[in-house]
Amino acid sequence: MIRVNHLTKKYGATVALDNVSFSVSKGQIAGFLGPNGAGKSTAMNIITGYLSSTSGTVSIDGCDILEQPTEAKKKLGYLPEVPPLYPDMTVNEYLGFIYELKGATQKKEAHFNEICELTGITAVRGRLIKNLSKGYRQRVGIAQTLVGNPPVLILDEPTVGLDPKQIIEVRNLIKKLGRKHTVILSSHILSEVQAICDRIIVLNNGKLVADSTAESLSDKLTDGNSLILKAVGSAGEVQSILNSVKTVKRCSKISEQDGTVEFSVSVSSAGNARSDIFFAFAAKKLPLIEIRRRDYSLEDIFMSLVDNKDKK
Amino acid sequence: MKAIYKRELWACFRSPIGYLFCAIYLFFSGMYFNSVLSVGQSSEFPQIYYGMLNIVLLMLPLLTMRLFSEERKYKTDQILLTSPVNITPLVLGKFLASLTIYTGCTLFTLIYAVVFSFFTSPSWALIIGNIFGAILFGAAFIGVGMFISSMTESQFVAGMGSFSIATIFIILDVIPLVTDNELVVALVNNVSFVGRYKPFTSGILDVSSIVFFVSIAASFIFLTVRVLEKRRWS
Repeated sequence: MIRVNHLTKKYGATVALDNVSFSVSKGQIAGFLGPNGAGKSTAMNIITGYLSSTSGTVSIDGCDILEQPTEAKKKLGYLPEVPPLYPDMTVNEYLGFIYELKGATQKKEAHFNEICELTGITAVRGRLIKNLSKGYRQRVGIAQTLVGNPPVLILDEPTVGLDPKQIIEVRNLIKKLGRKHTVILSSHILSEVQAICDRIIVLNNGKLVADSTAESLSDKLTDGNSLILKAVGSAGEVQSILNSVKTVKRCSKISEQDGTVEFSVSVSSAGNARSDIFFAFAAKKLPLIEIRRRDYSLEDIFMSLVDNKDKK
Repeated sequence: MKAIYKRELWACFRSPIGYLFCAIYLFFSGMYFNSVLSVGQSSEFPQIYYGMLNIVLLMLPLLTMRLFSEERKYKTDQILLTSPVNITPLVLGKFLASLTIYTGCTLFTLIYAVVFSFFTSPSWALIIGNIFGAILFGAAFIGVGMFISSMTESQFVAGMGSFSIATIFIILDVIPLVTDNELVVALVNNVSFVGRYKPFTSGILDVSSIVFFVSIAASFIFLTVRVLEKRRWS
């Protein structure tokens, strides 16, 4: 549905996007993930034809965004970082304007009713946009992308600035939209992308760092062979006990305070290792306070992806 | 184009700017009409339009300053440029909306002519020729103002920019009065908007003036399209 080939964008000497290629197939929800300034918005602006690339091509459902801009743009609904709203219009007037601008052909009233129902803005349809709260404005922004029922939706940070309740509502809304549309959304919140998207495309410094399904990323999240261990005693004592346990491959001290030490331990197989460690400490009469599995946060994985790529 | 045109007209009258523009125009044209009535000669009637030119130059920035700078400020240019509309109709829509408001005001002065006709028989051809000239004159300067508006995010800067250019045009017309240098006088008369309008006051449909105004408007519409295009490629 969306095909991006060797996209490069330079602003003078600054490279905002560096040879990025990916494609998103029909009905997928793909998430752009990356720290601020990674090139997410630039990529979206190029895909929607707002900016042009220095080199590389973008095609939407077979239409090149530069060669056949009108056809390609007809298939797109775009919510930029700042919702493009006219504050002096009411929601109804605004949707009416977008309807005419896009040359939509659906029955207007029924179409608007459906969109407003879906985005939950029916109650504010008669109000001026400047008087709406941030959450409602964002929803009007999303409603605007749905006018004309385009098959592809591009949403740039759709949940930024919303309160936690609204974030959940918007996420559910996007999931709902994903059933009928192909969606690309961007975010710097990893859990959000994981919650909504089938595909995760990680960008950093304008480069594509990872492109995988949400599942394969989350597989990396739980690693049974890494443990965090807390015991009463000195670092030296704990270290020597750990070294004596066969199933422990590596260990390193994380912190030491008030007579307790915390160690990060990697073991060969998680099941037996825990009891081995427990009995080894019991034999030396050192109380173990805590053994837990080390959970990698999405942030950890993300940082390791980003760091690895930087080193290369 | 129609959507943009409608939205532009509508936006002008949702804010006070449209009303302000019409009020100022009608106030000054009314004043000129009053003075024409005091003189009382039908041949003086087109003086209304000639006298209004400098005021129109100073007023048009009110209409043009927000055209594109406001879109950039609210980031709504993103929705316009990613919608399935080419840039040229988009620019034309905005241009025509401003021209419509200005033309509306200008045509309103026909009421004066009707009032005038109760007392004497005005030369209708002369009046219509003048209105035609005044519309062309406005179209050219709306083009200039729109172009300036497309270059900045701030309405104030756009307004002041067009205002300054208007002032330069007005000052330009003073030069022939203070110099005898034929070359300078000829040059100024050829580039001055007001100078180019002069043939209309005497009832001449001067082709070179018509071409001048139309080509100025067309060039600045073209340049505005280029500015918007350029932003994509920068």
